[in-house]
Amino acid sequence: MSGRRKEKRVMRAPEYLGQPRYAGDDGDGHRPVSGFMFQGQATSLPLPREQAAALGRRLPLVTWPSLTAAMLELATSISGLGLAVFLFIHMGLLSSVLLGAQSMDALGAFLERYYLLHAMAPLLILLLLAHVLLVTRKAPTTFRQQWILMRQLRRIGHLDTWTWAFQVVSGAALLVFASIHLWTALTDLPIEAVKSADRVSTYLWFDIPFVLMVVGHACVGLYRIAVKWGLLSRRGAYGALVALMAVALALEFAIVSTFYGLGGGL
Amino acid sequence: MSRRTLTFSIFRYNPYDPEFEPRMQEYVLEETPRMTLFTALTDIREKLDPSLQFDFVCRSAVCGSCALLVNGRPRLACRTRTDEIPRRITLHPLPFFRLIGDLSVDTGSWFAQMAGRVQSWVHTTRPFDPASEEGRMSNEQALAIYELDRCIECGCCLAACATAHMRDDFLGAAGLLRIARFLIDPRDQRTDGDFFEVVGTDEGVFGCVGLLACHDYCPKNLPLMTQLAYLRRKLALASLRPPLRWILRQIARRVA
Repeated sequence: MSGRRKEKRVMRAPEYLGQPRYAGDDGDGHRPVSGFMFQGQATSLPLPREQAAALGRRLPLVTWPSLTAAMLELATSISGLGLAVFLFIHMGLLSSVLLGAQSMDALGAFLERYYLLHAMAPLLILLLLAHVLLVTRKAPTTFRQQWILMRQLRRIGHLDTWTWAFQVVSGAALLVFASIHLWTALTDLPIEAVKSADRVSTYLWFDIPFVLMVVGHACVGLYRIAVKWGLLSRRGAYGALVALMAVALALEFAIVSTFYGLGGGL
Repeated sequence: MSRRTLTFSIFRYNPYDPEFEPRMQEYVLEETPRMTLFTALTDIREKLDPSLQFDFVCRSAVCGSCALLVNGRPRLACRTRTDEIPRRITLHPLPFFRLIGDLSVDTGSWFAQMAGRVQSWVHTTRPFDPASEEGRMSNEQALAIYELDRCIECGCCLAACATAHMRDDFLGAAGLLRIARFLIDPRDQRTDGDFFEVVGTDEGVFGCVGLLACHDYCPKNLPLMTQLAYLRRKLALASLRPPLRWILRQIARRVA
């Protein structure tokens, strides 16, 4: 993109043109004190705890709205972590096909015999739905927010903002891809190498973007959890992200190419 | 060192003049040794265009008023040397804040309302006694508070944060850093629950999605990523305590 076009776009930002950025702007840059938590707080000081106790007022340690916010935040990260762990288990189980079609069939039969698959599938679908509902709270859902995000991405070209945008877009696409994948796999039980090979060799155009997106989404999501909760240093998290993604992509493509080879032989 | 010729493309707009069309204006300037963007802007105003508006006070990265977008990235004009950046330089005012004119924005109003929202003062019931000795705190605590007090309120973190742009009520890194400062202050008698009401919501730390642009563009290199993670962990753990206590109480009641 040429610099001049970029400048034009930046110039159209409403705050530059003196327009109010949001409803309730008094035109002087002062933001309205709003939201369930801020109501009345700006005008009256909260009583310090001892004073409130002396007056006999019971103050809850944590109010329900903020408690729910924290719980939802925890649940968002945990659901993502759960799905990523599932993805890596799924990948580990699938890599049995690298040893031969028989070993994968044996593994599939084992999962079938002890109803492990039947027990796990509904849980997985529930986890997936929960994850979708939880992350949509933070995703740019209105056109205004999407427009602002796009403008910001082009303006500062910041890597982690771009990877978050990738998470949003790949997440939306994965909802469709994963639904199709779950439907085709679960309506065609038991899991056998031949069936999977058939699907991969016929619908390779489906599997390649699916693999790229699912691995990308899971690895970037894990990176985001690590930096959001301060589990790793920034550099460590980047290193882990790149290493994990390289290993996962290599393994996934080894699996896909094995399936493709098996399917071609039929 | 060979002298370069710098081409500045600077955003010009006066929101108070209805006739004024927003435009980009070009200025050509000879680079001088150790030139910063601040000196370049002063040169432009003195030699080329006295009408150019931009903010500065201290010239040494302490006051935080000269933040602007340099080639799209938020930086301090006084801290940016022209030999670090390409010859063609595009300057925009910081987004997110109200524009006063050209490169000058009003960050003060936003920071004032933020200070009101997070109640940016030491909450204490202890009466002030001018005769008594000052209260003591450990050296570690004093250093930790000092580290967070290094924020100069330049607004770069908010200009870089896509979440702050998308959600008008988001406190941003500057607001969350401010509350973290009072959280570690031993003189502040607010409990975790009190802090929770201010920042433990989707307008506060749980609104942050971890884009980390604030961390990457902070001109004072404040540990914003670490601080946001600290607040998030602290508040999430505080939220787990009441339900856990409730469950334990139920179990105790069943057993008894």
